[in-house]
Amino acid sequence: MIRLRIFINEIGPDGELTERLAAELDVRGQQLEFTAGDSRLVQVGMPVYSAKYGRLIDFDTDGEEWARNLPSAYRSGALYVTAEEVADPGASQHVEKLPAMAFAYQHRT
Amino acid sequence: MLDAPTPAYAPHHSPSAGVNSVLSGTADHGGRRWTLFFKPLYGVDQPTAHAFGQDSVVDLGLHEVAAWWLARELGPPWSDLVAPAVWLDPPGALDIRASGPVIFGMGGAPGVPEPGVGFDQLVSDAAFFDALIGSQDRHDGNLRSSRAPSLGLIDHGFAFARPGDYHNSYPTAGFFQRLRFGQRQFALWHGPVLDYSGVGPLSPALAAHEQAALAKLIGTSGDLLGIAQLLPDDRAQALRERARRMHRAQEILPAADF
Repeated sequence: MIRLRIFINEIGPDGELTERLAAELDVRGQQLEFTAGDSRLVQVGMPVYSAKYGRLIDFDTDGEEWARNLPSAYRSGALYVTAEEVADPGASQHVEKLPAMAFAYQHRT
Repeated sequence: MLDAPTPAYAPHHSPSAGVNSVLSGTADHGGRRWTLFFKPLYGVDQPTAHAFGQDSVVDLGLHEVAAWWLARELGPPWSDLVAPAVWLDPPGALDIRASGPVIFGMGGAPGVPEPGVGFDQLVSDAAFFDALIGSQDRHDGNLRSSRAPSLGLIDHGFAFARPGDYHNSYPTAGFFQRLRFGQRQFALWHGPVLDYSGVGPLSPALAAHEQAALAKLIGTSGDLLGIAQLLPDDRAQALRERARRMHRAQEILPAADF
């Protein structure tokens, strides 16, 4: 089973960046269980590249493989996804990592 | 603001480098803090880029800069819509993959609030821009908005497409162009139907300011207001042809028509 977490960020009028977990779902085979958040953000039709298939696939091709590769579909900086392989409710192995990093960026004139 | 010294990178969420890494940071300027995003080329998922016909990660990064350059040269409303982007070569970097675009953090959150009331003109202006740059990936998450209403166009790597290039198959891809051509509902696979019936009637026919923008773009000496310097010849020619086709037809191109 693959557990997907979808994070979005918002930039306020003061320029401050705030991030939040916006949606969470579990993909087991071709079953998709939405567990929390905003279902509009679960982009099941988003094509993702799969090395296993050697091409872009979507959820209907292979649900778990799609979910496993979904993090690679996002590079906008506004939304990112983590995928976690969950063997059982009590144990999990992290297989994808969070794409967002940060740098301190000081301006000098 | 972006002419800044070497950023000091620090982990934000994870100590590991990420797939499609995007680095976020801040710049202090003019007495306030601004959010920036840095997209080093090493973070590009190359198989995905290849599927979009974007085989050069350098070009893919430059497209962010080219999109902003075009918007800046065309002026308002597009210069207000498109995220400003400049190229960053981190001092001391020995590999081009450490370089990439630094992009201004447009305000708001991903997506347009349903049903889209008040977004008519912003949608129309965004559709023109996406048609012009040959956007391959403008789905409802590749934008920022707030209820003000405000709109920011982000993520222009998969753009400046050539005829026949792949267009994202996601139901909301080509979002603004589809809205301008009359679509108001987007049925998500295994999900809800997004309803933007609050967006008023729009037409693909060019407005006066769009006709003037195209005349300015294709009326120059052929360098497309300087954007041709940033693009390979085939992508520059495709941009030139889209501008000419829109100018001749007096309407924007539909999604996926490159």
